[in-house]
Amino acid sequence: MPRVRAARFVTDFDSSVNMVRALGRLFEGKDHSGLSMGPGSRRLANLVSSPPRALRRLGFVGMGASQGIPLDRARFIDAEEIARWVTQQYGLGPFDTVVIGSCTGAGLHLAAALGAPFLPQTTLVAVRDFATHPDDAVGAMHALAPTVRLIARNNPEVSVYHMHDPAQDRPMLQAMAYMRLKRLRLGRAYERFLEERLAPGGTIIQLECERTWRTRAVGERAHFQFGALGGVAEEEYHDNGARIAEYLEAEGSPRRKWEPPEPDARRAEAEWGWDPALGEDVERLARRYGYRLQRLVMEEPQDLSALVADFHRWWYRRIGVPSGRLLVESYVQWDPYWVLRLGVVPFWLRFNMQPSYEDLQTYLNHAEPYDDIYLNLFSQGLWSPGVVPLEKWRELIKSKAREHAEIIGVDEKAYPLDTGSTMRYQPAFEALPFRHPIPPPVTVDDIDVFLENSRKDYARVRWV
Amino acid sequence: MRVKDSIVVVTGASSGIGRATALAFAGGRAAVVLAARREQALDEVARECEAAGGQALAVPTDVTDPKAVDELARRAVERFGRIDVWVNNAALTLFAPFLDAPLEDFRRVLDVNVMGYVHGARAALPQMKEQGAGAIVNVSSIAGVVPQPYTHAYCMSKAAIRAFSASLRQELMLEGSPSRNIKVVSVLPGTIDTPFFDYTANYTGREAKAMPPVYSPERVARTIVNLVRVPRREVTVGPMARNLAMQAKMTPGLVEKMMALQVDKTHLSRTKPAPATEGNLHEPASGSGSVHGRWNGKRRTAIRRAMSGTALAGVVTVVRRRRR
Amino acid sequence: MVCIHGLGCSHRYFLPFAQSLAPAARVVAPDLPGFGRTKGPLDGLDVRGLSRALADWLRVTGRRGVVLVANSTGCQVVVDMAVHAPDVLGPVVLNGPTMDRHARSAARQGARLVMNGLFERPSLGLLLARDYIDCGPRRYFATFAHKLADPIERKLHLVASPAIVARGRRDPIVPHEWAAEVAELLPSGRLVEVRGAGHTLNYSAPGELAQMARELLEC
Repeated sequence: MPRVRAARFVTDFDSSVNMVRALGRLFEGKDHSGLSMGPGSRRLANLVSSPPRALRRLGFVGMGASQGIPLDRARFIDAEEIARWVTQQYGLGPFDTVVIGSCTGAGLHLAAALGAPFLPQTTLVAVRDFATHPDDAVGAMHALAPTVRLIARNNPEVSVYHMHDPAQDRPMLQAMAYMRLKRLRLGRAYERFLEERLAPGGTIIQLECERTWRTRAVGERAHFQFGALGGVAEEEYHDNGARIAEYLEAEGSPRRKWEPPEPDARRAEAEWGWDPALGEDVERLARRYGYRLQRLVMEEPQDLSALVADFHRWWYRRIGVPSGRLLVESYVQWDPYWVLRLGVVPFWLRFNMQPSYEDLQTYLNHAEPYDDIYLNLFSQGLWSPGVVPLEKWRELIKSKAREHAEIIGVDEKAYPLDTGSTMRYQPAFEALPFRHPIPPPVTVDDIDVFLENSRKDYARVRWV
Repeated sequence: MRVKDSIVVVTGASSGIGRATALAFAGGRAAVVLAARREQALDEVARECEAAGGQALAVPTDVTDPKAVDELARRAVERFGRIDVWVNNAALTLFAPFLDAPLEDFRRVLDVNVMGYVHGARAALPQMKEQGAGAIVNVSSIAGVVPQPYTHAYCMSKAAIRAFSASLRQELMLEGSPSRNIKVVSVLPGTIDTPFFDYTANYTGREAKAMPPVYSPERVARTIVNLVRVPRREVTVGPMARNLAMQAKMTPGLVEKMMALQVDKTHLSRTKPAPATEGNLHEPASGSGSVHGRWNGKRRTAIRRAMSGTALAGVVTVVRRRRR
Repeated sequence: MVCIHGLGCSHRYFLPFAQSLAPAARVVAPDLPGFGRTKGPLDGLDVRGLSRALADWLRVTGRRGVVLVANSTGCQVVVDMAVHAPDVLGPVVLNGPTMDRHARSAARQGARLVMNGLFERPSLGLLLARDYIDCGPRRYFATFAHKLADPIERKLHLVASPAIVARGRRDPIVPHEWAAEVAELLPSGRLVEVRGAGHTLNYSAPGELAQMARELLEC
């Protein structure tokens, strides 16, 4: 299958790649339609999601297969080339602020408000794997270990995480394996970006997500992670239980429980976690050029969402944009362009799972009530454990909105096997009423002011 | 040499080419002495040989042990009184990037594939000289002519076997009669549909596959039996192997490059990862062995033939029409 | 004393300068990777790549702390060493340091380069033609893009050693204001201007440049 993509190695549905693409396009005055890869079109989405369920499931598998790099090309995977690709998504600047570090959708909206480009620490590279069974964790670890070690050896500036999550990523795992490259050094491309495009006296905001996970080393700078941050708790991946057995049975798996390899250490979570090794490099560079270094530390990637939502509200009020509308986005179905054009307050959910639901609930319980609440949900291709049904979401937002609550851009019949999901969210955002010109960017000082005056205490987030 | 009633020793007889060869000789009413590491598999082959019409003797042997190989020869003579044909066939391979190949694995491949053959020839020759006749068949590979990447030890060993055969042949020629009547021949098969690739040591991270075109082991066995009837120095098996050997003489650089790309795309899987394993190098594979692998050699050959037949018929029709 | 050439050039245009210093000082002019007779990647190295190569070369040949005389974009390479290899960096003569941060565009720099041709000795053109052929257009423009983006003004404060900024009065590539700014940003730098000369002092006014280099040798 030919691979249609702009960069040789990155994976189109990866959170980091979508942060970079969305911001790069925002600075050009464009939206993030179809993950910045294809058109956003409701009709096309309907067409794609019209076949029967089994075919749609296959569609997800095929998507994985098309994103995977053939194994013989694994030796060409070059983290520096990916970094260069990232820096090419942004203009020449100079930028007053650059955001670097862990991926989070709330961080995306913060960066968008600041007009700041984002340099991800972690990027995803997928390699083809038609052989291992999604539920055979040990088998997958052993089968991919030589490839993981090869990538780690060829890229001394990153550590490589082979991430294997049969709960959330099941259809993808049938055709590919996730390799997450986490930078331990800035590398030449990022260094040059900060040297050349960050304005003198500018600020580097370092997003640090403290989430760690049980992992197992398979070589030098090469790790295996079973499970991932999602609807299944970390312990459940190892201790199993009735819910997992039910899930495996429903999926037609020959197994009734998972037997992951014995972990040997807790390391930064493969997708979202921050590896402090990179911080040393950033600090050195900031000192050398006299940049201000501001760390934004959170326990979980989603912890930032409440702060960023409140910050938007505060900002919109200050510049005279009505601030009573909330747009809840999930995973990579975000669009900073439309958030700013519509003047909606963004609240980002990491996924469509129970923990995300609870976070939104907590936020809405304590926040000043919103007039309108819109919610969009990502479709990952199966009812993985922890996926919250649409009805429950609807009830939640209905009970909290003062005037109007609606789930938008979701094919309710197909969800969560909606193959057209990534083409559906942007037209839905675009269709919302009221538009404003994109406001001039905020500054880092504004965040300071906001936090000083905020009555709320964001316990799980630190701005230092 | 007549195959009927001859005494044939086959090493590596538990599976693949060795097993097919033993069965072919047995079918020609020869007596076969079967050697391999796996006793259980050998017993099964012996039963099959007897069913095919020949006598059989199973002698579990590790060919890297010279004493064991001498014992094999001794048992063959003890039971059948002589050795007419000795088929050196037991071989292993190892897929690995050069620096990732454990040295002991590398050495083991050379030990089995080269020294195993040397031990065999040293055990068989005294008996054959005494008889004043005999044939030593060394199964090499087309990889000994056109080497492949990631299988250094294997390709080295297969080239070494060709050289070994030639050197021994020359010596016997110089010695004159009766040693002249002892024939030393090399067989160069292409890719053969055997379980060879399923148990191979592999450190590439990619599953090893049989590289097309794949031929059936029976085809090699037939070639070996015919070689014993009418000895020739060196014989390739399968048109692909013959073409490759010829091309390698004409455009060696080009063939070398093409082979590298071919192996990278089709010999190692691009979609199926594989764990690092030492395979059957140090411990034999479990089970009772089999002649065929999972590569459908026979069916593939039939399809290829049907297709080339159709193509040929097509060409003939076109040419005829033009002439009219 | 080590001479560092500018974009697309090589050791060759340092000959008049070296001659006017001989035999008082030993003058070495290496070709950076991709230029003159040194091999390098076709797509060119960025400033850090060139300065790393230079620093490594200075280290292995035992030339830490020697006086460095750089021309044009060679100055950016020398200044960049202050970032990652301050131990290697000795006193420097920055002859026509590029890129004027007030004119950071390819069009303006290109026009200035053409203008400069009017103020140089004609033989320089012939000499450089050969160097440009060695370098090749692809590498030339790739390197040019890297040099253009390089924020030299933010690294100047890291140059701890004594420095002289040398400028030809008629040099259009490096205007007086920019040269003065560079000298100002250097912790111990001063500006010396040569009357009647263009951008390439090492070729058109070697005697004057040699005089400055000698001063640094003595201190």
